[in-house]
Amino acid sequence: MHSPHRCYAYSSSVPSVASKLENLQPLNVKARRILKGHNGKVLCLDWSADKRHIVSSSQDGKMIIWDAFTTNKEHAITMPTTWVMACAYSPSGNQVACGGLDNKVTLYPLSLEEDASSKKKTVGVHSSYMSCCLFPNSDQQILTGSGDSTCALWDVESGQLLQGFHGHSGDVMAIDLAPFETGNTFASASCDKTALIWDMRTGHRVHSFEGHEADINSVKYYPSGDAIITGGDDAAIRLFDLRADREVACYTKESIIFGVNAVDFSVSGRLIFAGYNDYSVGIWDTLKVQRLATLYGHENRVSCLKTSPDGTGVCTGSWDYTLKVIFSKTHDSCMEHTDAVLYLTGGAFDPGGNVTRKESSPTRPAEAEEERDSGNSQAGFLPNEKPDDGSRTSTGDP
Amino acid sequence: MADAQPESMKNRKLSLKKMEALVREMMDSETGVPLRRHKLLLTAVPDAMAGYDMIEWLMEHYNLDDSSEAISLALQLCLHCFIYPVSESRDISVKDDSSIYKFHPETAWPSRGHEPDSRSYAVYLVKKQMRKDKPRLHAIDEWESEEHARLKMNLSAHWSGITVLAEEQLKLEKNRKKTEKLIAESQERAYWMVYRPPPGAPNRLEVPPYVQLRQPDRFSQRKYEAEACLEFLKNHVARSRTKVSQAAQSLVTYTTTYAEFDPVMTPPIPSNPWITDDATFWNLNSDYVEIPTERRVKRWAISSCDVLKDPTGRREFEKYLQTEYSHENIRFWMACNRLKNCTPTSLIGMRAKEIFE
Repeated sequence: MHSPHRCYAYSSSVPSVASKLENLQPLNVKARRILKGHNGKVLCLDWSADKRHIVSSSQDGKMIIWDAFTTNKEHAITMPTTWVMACAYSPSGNQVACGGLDNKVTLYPLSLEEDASSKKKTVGVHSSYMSCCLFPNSDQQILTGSGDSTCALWDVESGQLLQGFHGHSGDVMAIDLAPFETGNTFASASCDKTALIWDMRTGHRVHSFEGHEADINSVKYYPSGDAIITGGDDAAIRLFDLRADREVACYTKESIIFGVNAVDFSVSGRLIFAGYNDYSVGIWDTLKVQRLATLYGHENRVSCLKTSPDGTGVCTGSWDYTLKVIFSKTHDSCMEHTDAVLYLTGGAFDPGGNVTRKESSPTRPAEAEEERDSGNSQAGFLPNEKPDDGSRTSTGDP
Repeated sequence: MADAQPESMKNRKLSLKKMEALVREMMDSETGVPLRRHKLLLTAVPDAMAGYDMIEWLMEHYNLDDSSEAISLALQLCLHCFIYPVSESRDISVKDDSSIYKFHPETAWPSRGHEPDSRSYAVYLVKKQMRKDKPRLHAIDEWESEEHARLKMNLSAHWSGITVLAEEQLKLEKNRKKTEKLIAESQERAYWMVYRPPPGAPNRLEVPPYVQLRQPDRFSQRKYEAEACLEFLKNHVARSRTKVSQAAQSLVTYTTTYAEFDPVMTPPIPSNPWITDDATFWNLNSDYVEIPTERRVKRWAISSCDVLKDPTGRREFEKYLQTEYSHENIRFWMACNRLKNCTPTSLIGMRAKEIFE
């Protein structure tokens, strides 16, 4: 038996190299929008390139296009399946792709005139559920990952399989595209506890990373394209460097016992945002390998999470039927120093935790409005968060 | 039993095992959470944990500076049927105060493979219906009466037995002391709250359908895969690797370079739209602008990728190349990209010809 949180002996190299960096100031983290409208667990979300629209999919087969900035719903599409585990915005913003237990990836063009479902198009079919999909910088292709342990690249127009990616021995749970500069590779994460890097053109594996002790649920490229992070059911997030070809850091604590469902970076790569099964969102310093903050805002597990294209916000989706857009900023970056800064754990979220059943029903209107301009935590069961409530409401007004 | 399950199911149990280990430590008579007689309303509950004791113990155990993580953890223990609050409330919540908690018996823990049976659930519901005291606490919800009706149909053969059992249990309860009654009721309620949660409420023990679909390890033995595997391993052995310190240094360099463009690290100018509800930042930084912001131009200086990624940057670069009479290069590059990313496959031949010409 090994210790509960086994990490390779990398003699804590990343933090020691990063020791010259200044520690980050305490983070001010707050939820600014609540998107309510799903009647089932939110399973996946994606940002539009315009930085304010979001597509989200849920367990009850609904897909909703939000203007997250105004919290308006712009389209609602009903899928003929449940558990829509994947959805993605195309780079042009003109169409969305989704799929789930139906094993298919389906495209819906977005236009105001017509009903989106009338023009839907099935592009590819897997032999098991589809867990993730994305557009590889192009509206003409879709990359998918599936429970049949393969990934596949499809041609949108013809529905042809352009390339299959075989090599995982368990369900593929997540994929991520390498950033613009680094070209034609993508990363996949699987229940076989490995993460693989693929060459999209040849269909060959280029890297293979092991280290997790359970299913990996999420994978994300470091913005430079030189490393990836993965989050898994073993409650750990791991950083694998491509050039060193190994795990170089592990983000975990003894007190964290629930799995990680989703991970993403801030645009500079300095922060990691992670959604956990214990309803929390954790924020880590990538280089110092320290946890900076934990937010308890959702009332069920956090299933998906994504940083907006310009990094101004992070959207989280949860099994509590809601999505939230949160922002974070470091203390010294507050232009308005009069504010009391919310240290660490997020009292600014509404108090999750006390499981008041009625509240988890997603049908309270004006809720989003509340969150937008108030942000005052009704302290709930988090007794330590009471101070500086009032002063925080003005955060952000310069 | 665990061995018969597919790998993925075992993984799901990881957190349950960890919780079980934690609860065992909490139960330790010497180093665990102190169990005392605590007062609740007018009754004294023996061998119970106070909320503040439990939270303090957890904070000490995990070396936490902040109580909210401990509270969240304790709540998860409640929602996973390891501990329950002794109270007269219908909700499960954990507070860092004098509220009191007890451990569920080991047999009820989900980590021990415990499965509730619907007959005892039926008894519970029938009892709930028969109760006349404390209407607020024992009121039967609509979804519960639906469950009740459903069970009555499914278990119709045993229904008379269930009713008798429920009556007997109620009778027994009446003779119990007030304290015992309070504990038994709290436990029962908390137990069913976990194993039969109301619709829409978090169901910690639910396994998503895609997890059920998973098969135990399967490794396809197709020949080309074996070949690909061999090829991969050959490359893997031959690959040159940088030192971890070097790799780390380049990660550090990257974040330092881009910190200025990270809204978390450096506040956006004029403001972060999500904070101020003012979309000016986006308008100033839309794809094509007449006058790019200073910070945007600064970013172009970092690398040619940063220029080419940005539509305005690309336009300015093209203008510059025009003055150098070499804009055909960027035009060619852009045309190729358009061809690669924006052209339906059927039109590729035609477009390629256009570029050629």
